[in-house]
Amino acid sequence: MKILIIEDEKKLADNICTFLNSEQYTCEVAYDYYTAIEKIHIYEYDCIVLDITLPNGSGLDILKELKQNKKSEGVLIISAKNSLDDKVLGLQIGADDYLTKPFHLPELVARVSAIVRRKAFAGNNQIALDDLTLDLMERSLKSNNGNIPLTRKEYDLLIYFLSNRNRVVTKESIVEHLWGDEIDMADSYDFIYSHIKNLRKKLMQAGCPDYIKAVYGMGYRFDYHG
Amino acid sequence: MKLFSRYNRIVLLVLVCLFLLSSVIYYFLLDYILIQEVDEVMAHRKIRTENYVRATGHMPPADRMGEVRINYTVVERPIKEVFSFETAYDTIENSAGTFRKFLFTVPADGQIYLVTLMRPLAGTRNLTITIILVTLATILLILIISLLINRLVLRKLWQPFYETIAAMRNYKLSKLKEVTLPHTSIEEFVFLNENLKDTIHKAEQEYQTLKEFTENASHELQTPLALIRSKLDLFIQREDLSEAQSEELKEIYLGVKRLSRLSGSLLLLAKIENQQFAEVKVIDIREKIEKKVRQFDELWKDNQLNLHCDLQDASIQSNSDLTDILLNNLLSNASRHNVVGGTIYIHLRANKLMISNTGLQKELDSKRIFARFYKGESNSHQNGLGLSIIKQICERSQIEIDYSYKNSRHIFQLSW
Repeated sequence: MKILIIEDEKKLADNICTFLNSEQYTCEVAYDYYTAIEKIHIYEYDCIVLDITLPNGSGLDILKELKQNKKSEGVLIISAKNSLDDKVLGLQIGADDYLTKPFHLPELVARVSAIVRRKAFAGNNQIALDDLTLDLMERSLKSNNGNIPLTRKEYDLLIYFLSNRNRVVTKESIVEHLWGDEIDMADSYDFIYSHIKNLRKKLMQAGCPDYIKAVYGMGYRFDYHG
Repeated sequence: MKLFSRYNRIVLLVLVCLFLLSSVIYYFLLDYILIQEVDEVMAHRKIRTENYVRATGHMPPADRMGEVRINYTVVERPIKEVFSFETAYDTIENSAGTFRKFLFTVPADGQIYLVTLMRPLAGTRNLTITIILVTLATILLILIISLLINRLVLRKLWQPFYETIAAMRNYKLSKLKEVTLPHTSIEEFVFLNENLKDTIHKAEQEYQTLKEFTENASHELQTPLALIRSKLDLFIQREDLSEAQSEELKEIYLGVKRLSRLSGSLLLLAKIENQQFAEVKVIDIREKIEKKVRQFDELWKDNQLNLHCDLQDASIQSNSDLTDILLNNLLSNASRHNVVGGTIYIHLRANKLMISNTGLQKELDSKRIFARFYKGESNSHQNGLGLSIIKQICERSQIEIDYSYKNSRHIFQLSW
């Protein structure tokens, strides 16, 4: 999957790119409006991560340009402003999602994956996980023996892990992904351990190896090279 | 009382007094003038009588058919002429009436004759009364017509004022729609409208400036934080991190989170104060709380908190986003400041919401808890702005909020 990052903070753009670059994604950057417009016209991407506070031209203009040229890329807007007006406007013009800075990189990746999956809907609403199949339409996990019942949180957690496979994700980012970042009630995130444990158990009962590895002090890593 | 009613009242009072006064003066003046006329006619008669005596030497015959009654009597001495009023019987009117009497002496035929002239004043009096009545009627007519004119014309003249008021009522600062004030040629209203436009313009500028400030501040604060966090997210991918290093990284993560939360809260407060959440509508509080409870439910279970929920239908006129933040903060507080195995109580009625929780076995300082950055004894990870935000939102939405500590429970009660 080809991703374009349009962000004027060079170091931030580079960090995002480094994080994304893996077996799943390749990544390019544009640091300003003109480079971005150029790249959009020349290349095709699966998803564009767009910072709307660009110095020499608003990111919203790039968005409008994309929509005018009927380009099919999904767009994730990132912004430091947390302005409701911007959010509404962006989604209205045709962005697929809106993420406020500072975000967790795994969260960004999860959202990009979601957009990419939705765009590639026609052929690809199933993800293979060794012998198991994740059905994105039904939001279910199936093995050869039938359905493996997952709670909503367990399903979301699995998708999150798969989008960020082979990378360490912090407990903090997991909690924020599953419960949103407005709900701030815990100083410790250890309570997610039970959810992780249950998911792990169900996967292993279905015959999978133990994908989920705990990384001391930080969080977890889903080791999977499919 | 309306301006023109008050104006009317004053004018009416003054006019009525004036007219009454002038009517009285008018009456006496008119009376005096008419009596003067009568006297002058009778004086002429005296001159004609004297002329006749001079010419013929005899008194003229006393005319019985005239309006004036004439009487001759012989007297010894001449007198000075006298005018006076006398009441006598008026044969025409068939009642007692007032007469004007003129006495004078004329020497004739070697004797002195006393002439008594009596003129009835009934006709004169009638004339006076008629004139007064007509005048009063005219005055009354003028008063009524001026009242009507006041009503009709003044109402129309005040139109631009009422239109301006209506336009101002519909105007909302954050909507940034141009306010159209009515065009008028009346100086005072032009003055009013121009000053209003100026004030609105200034307010809009200030609003925009503050809005841009909060957005730019947000950008400036959050971008470096995004940078730090993204670097951390990359850093922890390293396979060669020791346990100690992981712990340190965890601390850094927490620091970033706290900073991010803090700047978000400060900016939220600024936005609330800047009226950037002006859009209000009717909100179903029960629905919102039920949704929030669903969101929090698992978290509460995971932290072994119990929930007692007692909800009835309730609604409020407020901004939807602010209400979400309000409920979030209240419930987050109730969760965070709780104990393991503790309880959260939510009690909702049509105009009242009570959220209470078990927790610290000591009452909080109700005077200071809503102040910015005030933190109780525990929980140094919180930035102390949560309750300030709650308080601000309540003030904006005209909600009263009270804290109390009863039965080992911390109770926050909202009423609207």
